[in-house]
Amino acid sequence: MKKSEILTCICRILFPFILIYGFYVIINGHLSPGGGFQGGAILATAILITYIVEVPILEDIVILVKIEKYSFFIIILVAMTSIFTRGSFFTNFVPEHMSMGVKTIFLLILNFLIGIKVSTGLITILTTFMEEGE
Amino acid sequence: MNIIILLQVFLIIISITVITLKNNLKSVIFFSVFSLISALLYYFYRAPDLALAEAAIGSAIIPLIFIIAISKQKEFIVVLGSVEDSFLDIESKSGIGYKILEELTDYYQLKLVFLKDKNDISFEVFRVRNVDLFIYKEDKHYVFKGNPASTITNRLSKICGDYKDVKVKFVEEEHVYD
Repeated sequence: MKKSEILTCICRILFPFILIYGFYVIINGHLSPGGGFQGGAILATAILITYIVEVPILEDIVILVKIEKYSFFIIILVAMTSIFTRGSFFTNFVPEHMSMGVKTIFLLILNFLIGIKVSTGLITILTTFMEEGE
Repeated sequence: MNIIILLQVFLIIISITVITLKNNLKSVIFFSVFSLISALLYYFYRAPDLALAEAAIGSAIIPLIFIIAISKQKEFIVVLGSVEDSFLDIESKSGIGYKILEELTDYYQLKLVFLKDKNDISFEVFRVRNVDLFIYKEDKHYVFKGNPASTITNRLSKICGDYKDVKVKFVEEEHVYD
């Protein structure tokens, strides 16, 4: 495929801003619109831009697949810890008499984990589709 | 409310142009414009959460998948069996076989891709990616194996009629076990 100078130059400038915006959407997920899924999709587009610029950040996909598998177990473990503090599954693990500021830690952790899982999943799907059989 | 009506009219116009355009790449770009406008509409109908997801996935990731698929379509994949260097030399781009293939791919504006494979012929023809041609040597004749349904291989058999050393064989696609 032909590659133009303008496209690669603008992709180089845009790349860090898209990364910052993706992390902003993930971390502010409980206050503003967006959250883990939307932020993860934005992060995935930021890393897929590097294929256009031809500055490959990712060398092999095996690490990404491992991260995705482990994040799935970590999400379930974080959701299960409420049985020790509150006595029931799949609720907030912070006790009820604490303040609201402390309770948002649960939402932050879950949003961050879901963002990592979505972004790594999308990147692995697209890279295997690009490099099929090569 | 006027903005919403204007955007809805734009949506109808763009969806009609996506269908009627003949160029694939242009219609993919119009598809991403379509999903951007629908993201704006989601925002005006008070669903900013959905608007973010639509802007990220509908206008960036799905057109990327389409563009990769289009660029994969423009390859002509050839698998080389045991062929002598004088007939088809990849590095120096010379030989009768290379001339035939170059004439074919220039006619359809495709990109030549060579793969070397030492495995069994009958199993490998349609197994690895979508291999278009398989070339090997069979007692003084060079054989081109291909799919009978495609128009490209029919064109190839016309070109190869001028050369006496070259045979063209067609293989049915029934033997594939996926």
